[in-house]
Amino acid sequence: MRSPLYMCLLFTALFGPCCQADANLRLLSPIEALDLGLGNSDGPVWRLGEPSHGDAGDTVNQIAATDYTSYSAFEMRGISSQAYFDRTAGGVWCDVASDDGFGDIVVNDLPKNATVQAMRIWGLDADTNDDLTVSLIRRCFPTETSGGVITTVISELTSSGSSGNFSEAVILPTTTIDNNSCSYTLRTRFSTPGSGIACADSNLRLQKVRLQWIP
Amino acid sequence: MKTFGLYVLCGFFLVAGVRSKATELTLDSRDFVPTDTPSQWAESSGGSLICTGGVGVFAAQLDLPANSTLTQIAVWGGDSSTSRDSSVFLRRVCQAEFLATSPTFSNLAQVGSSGSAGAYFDSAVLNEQAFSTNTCTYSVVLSFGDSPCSTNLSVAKVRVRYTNDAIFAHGFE
Repeated sequence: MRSPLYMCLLFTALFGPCCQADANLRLLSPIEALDLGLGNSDGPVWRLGEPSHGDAGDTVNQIAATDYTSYSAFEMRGISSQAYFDRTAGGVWCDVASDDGFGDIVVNDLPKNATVQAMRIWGLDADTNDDLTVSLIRRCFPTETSGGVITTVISELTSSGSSGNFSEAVILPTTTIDNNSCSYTLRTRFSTPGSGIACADSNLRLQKVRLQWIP
Repeated sequence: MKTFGLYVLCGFFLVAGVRSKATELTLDSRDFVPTDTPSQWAESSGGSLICTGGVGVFAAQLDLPANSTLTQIAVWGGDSSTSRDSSVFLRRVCQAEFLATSPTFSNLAQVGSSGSAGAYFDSAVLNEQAFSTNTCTYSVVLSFGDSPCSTNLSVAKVRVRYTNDAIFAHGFE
């Protein structure tokens, strides 16, 4: 009987990228997970890409993507009925009266085996104390049996400054869409952890998220 | 003769491969929205949808391509309730294409939990041709027990498998 490590090394030698794709995978601490609205039983919660403030897009724009899928902030649903959202043409924000400060947009329209390359977000940040964070999260279950979830934060993008409308992008770690075992969501946090509030109100707004991918 | 047989075999696999493309659509628990205003929900510590008050019925639309054949519905979730079970329905609602008519509801399949052992998986096989996406909508409806809902039931995701007929999809009916 061969150990999983042995098999992984054997496959790496034979097929290269299959086991190397997740080389940067690391466990999130419980505090890091809670900062993304991921509970204790989500664990182990893994992270593929490190947190980023992104860039204006010069690097990302040079990627030869063939397809884009955009998600309006209007599609967002609170992670509980204690998150209240307000919507205008200028974006969606989390009302300051909310007890929960997270909203989710489901990504279930990317084709099987697509490779997601980059994520760009549009929003408004006019808050000097809080920033807005969008994370792309993957949750996988056994294919045909019950079992625990394996949660992975594929990437995390946070606004910076307070100058108003912004657009930032980040190149994602290699991610192949697996609709058979996994589901994907975009989770938005409407405050900075430790700021003492769940939601920063209308000074932090999400407008749109776009994923860049190839079939 | 042997070569001819090989050609026939290759042709069969080619046609089979082109005709029917098996795929799946996964509905994350975050796809589901309450069907009744008083319903309250939250996320379990495992990231699944739980009902925290109200009727406890949630629904999500299935965006099926035209000319699909539904082959399986499967659900993953949690059940630690000794008295309640969760139910998941694959529902079709149809109306006449160009006429005002009352919607016709059909439950095409039902899966769900039983017992109280914790994490569960359930699936059902289907052979339902969803040719009528121009007159029907397809959705998945979750029920977390009778009202008031049970907080000991959760749903993590629902997967619907289907095949899509490439020839029919291009109008060669």
